[in-house]
Amino acid sequence: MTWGIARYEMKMQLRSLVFWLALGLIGLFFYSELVSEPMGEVQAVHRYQENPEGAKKFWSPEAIEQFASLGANGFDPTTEANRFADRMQIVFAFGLLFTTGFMLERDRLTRSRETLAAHPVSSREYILGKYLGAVVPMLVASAAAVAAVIMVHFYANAQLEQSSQWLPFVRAWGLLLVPTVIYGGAVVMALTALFSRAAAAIPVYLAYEVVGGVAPIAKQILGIWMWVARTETLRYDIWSEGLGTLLINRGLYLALSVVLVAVAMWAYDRRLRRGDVA
Amino acid sequence: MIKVMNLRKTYRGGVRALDGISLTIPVGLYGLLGPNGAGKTTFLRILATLLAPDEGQIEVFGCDASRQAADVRRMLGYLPQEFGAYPTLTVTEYLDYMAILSGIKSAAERRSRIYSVLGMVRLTEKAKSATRSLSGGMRRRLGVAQALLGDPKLLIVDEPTAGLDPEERVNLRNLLADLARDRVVLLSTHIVEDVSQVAPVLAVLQQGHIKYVGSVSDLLRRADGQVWTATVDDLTAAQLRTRHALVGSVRTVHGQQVRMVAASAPVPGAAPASPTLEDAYVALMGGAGV
Repeated sequence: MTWGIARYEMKMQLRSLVFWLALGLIGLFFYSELVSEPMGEVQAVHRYQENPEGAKKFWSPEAIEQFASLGANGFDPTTEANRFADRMQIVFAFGLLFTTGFMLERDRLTRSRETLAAHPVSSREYILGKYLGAVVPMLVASAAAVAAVIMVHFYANAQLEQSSQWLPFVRAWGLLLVPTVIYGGAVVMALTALFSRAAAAIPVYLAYEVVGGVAPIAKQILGIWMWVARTETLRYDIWSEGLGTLLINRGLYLALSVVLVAVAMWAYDRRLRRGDVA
Repeated sequence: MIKVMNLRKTYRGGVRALDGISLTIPVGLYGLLGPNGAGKTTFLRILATLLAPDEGQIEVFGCDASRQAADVRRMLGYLPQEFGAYPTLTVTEYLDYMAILSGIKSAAERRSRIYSVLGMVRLTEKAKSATRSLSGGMRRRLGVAQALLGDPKLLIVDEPTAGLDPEERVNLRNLLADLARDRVVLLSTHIVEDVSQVAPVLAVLQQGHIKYVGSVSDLLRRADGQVWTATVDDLTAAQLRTRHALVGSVRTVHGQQVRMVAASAPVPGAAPASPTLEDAYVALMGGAGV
């Protein structure tokens, strides 16, 4: 039953304007990131020295031309891949708010709650189906993004007759972006199940992401030191000490995702038991 | 058979929605009448296991509704008063989704059930249309279709004819009467005509209490001698309106022809009339809501 629910939730997701707007925004960030500065800080200096104007105007023909000739100074695949995954974590974390956040809200807006609640489906199956319906399309979108980056990387380095690698990108995607999407989706699902309206969950999620989640830079700027800020293993970024720490970090996120989806199931079940179906 | 014993429900804020309801609902079409706010929807939600009562017990075909809610839902088809469908799905996609939620695992079985219920509610030609493109009446019929998917032993329909045109109302009433041959169909409405045409038995709710339980014919008998017609001038009609429950008023060349419920002849020359269920309902409610 869970997969049946997920299938239709995905179908609705793919037909939803909100989903495509979120993806459009992600794409815009992605494009601006690629074009406005080259991959890798050392290369960025060279690049800006060569063409500072074109680098800034990322919609201009010059920028597109520059986009096509990315890697004029050669890119290090590992640096590129990590940078890609790092930035994409942030934009996907915000994109998830609009896609996953709408899953339970849709039932309220379409006045479907009462009809759905009268069916012999458990909260466990229903929430899991909704969660998968939200997260799987985002994972596919992230896979498409990494595929695009790999193509750009291969193309750019081919211009310079330098070797390219796809593995660092896939590794960065699998270790950084995938757990972030799984975890971010679970956070949004839990919040929207706890609050009866998704709008109430938005500020909580944004506050969490800005202060404690995806933007350690915000913590640095604001000088906020919460327990999450001091804990190396509890943040989305890539500044981990090594692969071991990173794996622990990602493992924790995946474990937390399971807990959060369970919280969403419990909250949804409690809501049904209270008769909150209108 | 459904047995409801001493059901009570009070909402936060102290609104007492149900106050000791006891009913036995046999197989067949059972009408539930009452004015807005009588507690009908609360009663139906409790029966559908969507809301827990404060007190009381419900037995649905031998299952305790509070302890075996999942079993009751497997036997249930439910059309809520406010029915909404996912607008981006087509009619068949929506019904397929609801069939999955009803626990029908086989895709072939789901497909067969979907086209069967679409035929019942006369929506087959809209099978591939998006639900958002359906008119209000069609959407209501879609609501009935989704309630029928699991071939339920208990079908609860809350105000099913709201928003339907006269032809659709007749069709839906006939469908419900047809379905009631081998299951319990509980039809809740405030439109007396819907019940009068198809339900042999009914209960009337008022302010959380049962005001009447019994057959339609008994209720009609109770109103014998209480329904009058007369042709009066405008002034008399206005006076009658303040003293009695006027259930009809037609302007003719001789004045206003009024139909009213009163214990005795309200004006000289008033003629007794055979009561309809609407008259009997108004007489029962003491003119409330008229």
